[in-house]
Amino acid sequence: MRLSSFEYSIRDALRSMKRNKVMCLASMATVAISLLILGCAWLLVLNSQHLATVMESELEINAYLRSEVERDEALNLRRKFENLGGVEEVTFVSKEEGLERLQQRLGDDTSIIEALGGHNPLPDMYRLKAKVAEDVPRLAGEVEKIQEVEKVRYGQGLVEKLLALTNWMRTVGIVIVIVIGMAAIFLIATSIRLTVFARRREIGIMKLVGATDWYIRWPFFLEGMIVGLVGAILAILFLHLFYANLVRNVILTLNFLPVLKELNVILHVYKWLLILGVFLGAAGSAISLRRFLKV
Amino acid sequence: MKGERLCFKLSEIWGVNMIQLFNVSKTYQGEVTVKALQDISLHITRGEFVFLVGPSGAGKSTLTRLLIREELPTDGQILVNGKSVSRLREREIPYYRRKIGFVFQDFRLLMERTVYENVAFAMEAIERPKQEVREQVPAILESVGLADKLGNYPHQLSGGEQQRVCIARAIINNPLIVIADEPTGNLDPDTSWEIMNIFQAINKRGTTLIVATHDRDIVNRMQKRVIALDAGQLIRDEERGGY
Repeated sequence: MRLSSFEYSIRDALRSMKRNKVMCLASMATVAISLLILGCAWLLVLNSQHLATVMESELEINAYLRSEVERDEALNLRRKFENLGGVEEVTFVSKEEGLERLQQRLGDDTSIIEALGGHNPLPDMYRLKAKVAEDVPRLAGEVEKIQEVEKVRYGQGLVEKLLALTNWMRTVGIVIVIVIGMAAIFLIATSIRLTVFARRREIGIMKLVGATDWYIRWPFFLEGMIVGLVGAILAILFLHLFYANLVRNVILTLNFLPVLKELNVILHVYKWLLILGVFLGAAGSAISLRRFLKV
Repeated sequence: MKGERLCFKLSEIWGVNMIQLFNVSKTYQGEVTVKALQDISLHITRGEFVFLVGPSGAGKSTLTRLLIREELPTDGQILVNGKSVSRLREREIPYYRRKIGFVFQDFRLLMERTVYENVAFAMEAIERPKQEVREQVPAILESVGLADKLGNYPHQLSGGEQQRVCIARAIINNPLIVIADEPTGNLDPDTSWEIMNIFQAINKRGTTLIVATHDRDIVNRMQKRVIALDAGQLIRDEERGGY
């Protein structure tokens, strides 16, 4: 295609968009909304995946010892834990340390020891860190078999729940996006159909003077793609404002929550939203052209 | 001298027949079967000026539709410039149509575009470069006497002027053939003559002209070849004929 032909097509596309302003804006808004929802769902999924990996990497097993186990025996258990295999780190937390930590967490205002009447109810405890997250359930099982261990706790259930939630969100997000995406395509198709109708005289003359089918189709395709592109840009703009705000607030108030703030991951999401927007526009035009522009 | 002679001979061999119809028939199948054209055979040579006459429904429009390959003949063969029209591939049709300029009774101009834009439209449609469009559109409009109307819109023009825009649009891409369908049907006699004079000038430059018309006066006074159709049949074909 010649450069000047491309210019003619762009000019015609913009001209008919101006003529069909309302429909055009409505299609842009639909594309923007569907991509905004997709973007939100996507960032949410990415964040919960991020959260899951962060939590997984901190996976620990807490092994509480029976209260009748003497301190000497308890300290000797360290070797047993270290020999389990797949263990990266073993830490002993005595009941005194445990109480101290509890006191720290509750603040200095109240004295736990006083409240408990000088009696420490906490057991001695070992904290194990696994080398690999997948080893945790097996390790936990083995630890439980040790006679001196009364109870084992680890965060596996939580991680599983989080991953399940992520999967669920992904599915729901995809379904919503498909539904709204189809609405967007339909609206673009309708808008292009109106344009084809408004330009039917021109199309007739173009055919008669020997315009090729593709030269006739191009402005309509461009129109659809421009609508999709503008919609995508709007969606990205809103999403970025929203997300930047969210990240700032989370960092300020919920500091322990690990939010995703790597720019290149977020830019990757934006890039795909842009591509998807143009694709939605082109698909809408294609449907309309196939049905209404028999050239 | 020798070269000229050779050229002349070559054109005699393959260039003289611009339009050839061999036993062409067109039947429309519907609730009633209409035989729009029946067994038409005729030849039109390069550079001829032909009037196509006959009452409404005689088959004039069908013939023009077949010539621009809007429809295919039910039977028979059409050759234009030596090439079979019915054997054109789908993607060749646009390029084929560039050889034919079309002038309508109702002008078919784009009302929201200026005279200049209407003519430029035909050049843009076949993807001519911008520079060429800028040079050739004013020149062609000057040749049909509209040099001072470039920026006007069709509704600001008289019927004759609108038809001249339509003619300019038909010839801007240098077609081999110009087909005019009732070009003076909506015009008064004086204006009709102006349009005919433009057609004659175009014909003098070597373009083959086919004018379908009802206008007895014009046909009788111009003394050109007349092809008469009636009820889909060729009833008369004479040189320097009358209506």
